[in-house]
Amino acid sequence: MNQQKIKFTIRQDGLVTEEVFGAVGNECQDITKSIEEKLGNVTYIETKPEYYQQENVTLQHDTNQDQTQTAID
Amino acid sequence: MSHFSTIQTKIKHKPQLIEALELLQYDVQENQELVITNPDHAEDHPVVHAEIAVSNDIGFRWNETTETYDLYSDHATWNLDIPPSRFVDKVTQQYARMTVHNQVKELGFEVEEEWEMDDNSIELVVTRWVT
Repeated sequence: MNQQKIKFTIRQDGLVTEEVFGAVGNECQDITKSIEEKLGNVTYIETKPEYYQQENVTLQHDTNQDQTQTAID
Repeated sequence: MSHFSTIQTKIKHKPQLIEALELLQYDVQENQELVITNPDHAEDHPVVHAEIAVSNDIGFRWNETTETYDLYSDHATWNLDIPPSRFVDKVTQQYARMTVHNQVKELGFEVEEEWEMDDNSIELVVTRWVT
């Protein structure tokens, strides 16, 4: 079992900041999408290291090097 | 933490707007004709339809362009105990609070803590367990 937590700060002019804890990958954006859609316009998003964390995924770098061809007229 | 975002609240949903106004203890009437008594404006628009009214000349009208409910009132005859800008802020804050409460409940979260800060902002912590 994993606990997910969201902390909201609702400023007196209605500006809302939300912080999601305990969600991995883009799960956190799935959680808050419906809330954000109901509230209004998202003005700022910052993703944290866990956002890039995926289970059972191996990152592979493309080893092919870019080749630039220069045409001479 | 894996996600941090900021949202500017827009008043788009009538039920939450009514809920917010009622929480602030305003007497809400739906679909009212606002009577503009200010002589400078009364000739042009003596009666204006408002989807939501809190008095006979203060209400909210749906704005087709911005797709939001906007405050409609006459500053010259404004008679609430707070100025219009503060009124809109308070309503927007309560609207945001009600919207967050309703949405987190639908997602299976429970409110763990809620408190008001010295600067009048509201902090709300919700949690849920997932397998």
